[in-house]
Amino acid sequence: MQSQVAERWVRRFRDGDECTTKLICFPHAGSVAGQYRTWSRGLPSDIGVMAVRYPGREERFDDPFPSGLEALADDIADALDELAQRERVVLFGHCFGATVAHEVALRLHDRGHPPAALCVSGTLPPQALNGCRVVPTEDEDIIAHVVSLDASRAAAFEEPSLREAVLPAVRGDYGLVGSYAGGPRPPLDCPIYAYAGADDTEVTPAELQGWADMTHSAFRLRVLPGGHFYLKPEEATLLADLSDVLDLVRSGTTTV
Amino acid sequence: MTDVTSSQHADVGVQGHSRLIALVRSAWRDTLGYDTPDDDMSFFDAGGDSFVLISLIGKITKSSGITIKAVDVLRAPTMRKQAALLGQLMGEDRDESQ
Repeated sequence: MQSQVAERWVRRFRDGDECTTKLICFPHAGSVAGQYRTWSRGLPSDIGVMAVRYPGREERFDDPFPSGLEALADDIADALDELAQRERVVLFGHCFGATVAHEVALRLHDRGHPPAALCVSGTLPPQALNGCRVVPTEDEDIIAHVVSLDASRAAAFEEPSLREAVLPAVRGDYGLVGSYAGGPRPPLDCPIYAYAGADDTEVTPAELQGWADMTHSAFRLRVLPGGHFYLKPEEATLLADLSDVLDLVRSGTTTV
Repeated sequence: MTDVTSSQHADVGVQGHSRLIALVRSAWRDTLGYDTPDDDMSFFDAGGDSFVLISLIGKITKSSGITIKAVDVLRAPTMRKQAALLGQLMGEDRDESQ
């Protein structure tokens, strides 16, 4: 059983005694744990699949936002601490979620129970940020940016009642992205697997190569067809590749 | 608030609770496409998301006649809590009509 803190922070899609490796997924800005709901079907049955529940949305609508992305990573590392001590965990994050997952991996590493692997998708490594990024701060600009990356999300902002329910999370996450300065970080001991959409307008596959400097261990970049949100149309391919990664992790092989 | 009003609220709770739970359960079933047996399960654990939530609210409003806000449903994410929310709103409606 997980503690109440872990329950608040993690939505579990599949878990059990047979799941000796847990994949913990980190949603992109403004998104929710349920984004990863379908992943358990595409991954081996002995892989536990769960996702982080950020504050400010769904059941956590009234939970306050942390002061910064690092503070969010502190909170998540606290929530995952017990699990990471006991089990083999692999972190996967997309965009904002990848940055958060990396910061959480650094914290778990410092606590002596690092993840078995870190998977990062669609975001720059921290040392490439070189100061805070310019992100939209006005609601309409934020919405325009969100919709430019994923047109299917426009509907969420057109219905006033839905907008009131989802905008605080989007606004809050963009605030965290905008105040995160990144910079040099000590390399992790676990392998890093990076994923890119070939036509991503936010970050190029070449830029994702920079994640290689964030580990002493193995690094591999995989480029899939599509833009920033290649994950959904390429879900089967991505999960097949992640299954291979999880196989390597389970067998204790970290070479690529 | 007088004792009389309080007892009317209690009436909604005692007599209407199972009816309201049934109403909410039916709306969940119509929205999610399957029956959720656990009154205390979160709508989002049950497979819902924000879009589905709007559909759920539409169904609850249609069958209860009570208008509820998305943010209030976020704050009451289980069937039990949504039934209690409806009971409370029905009580308020009655108070206003007196």
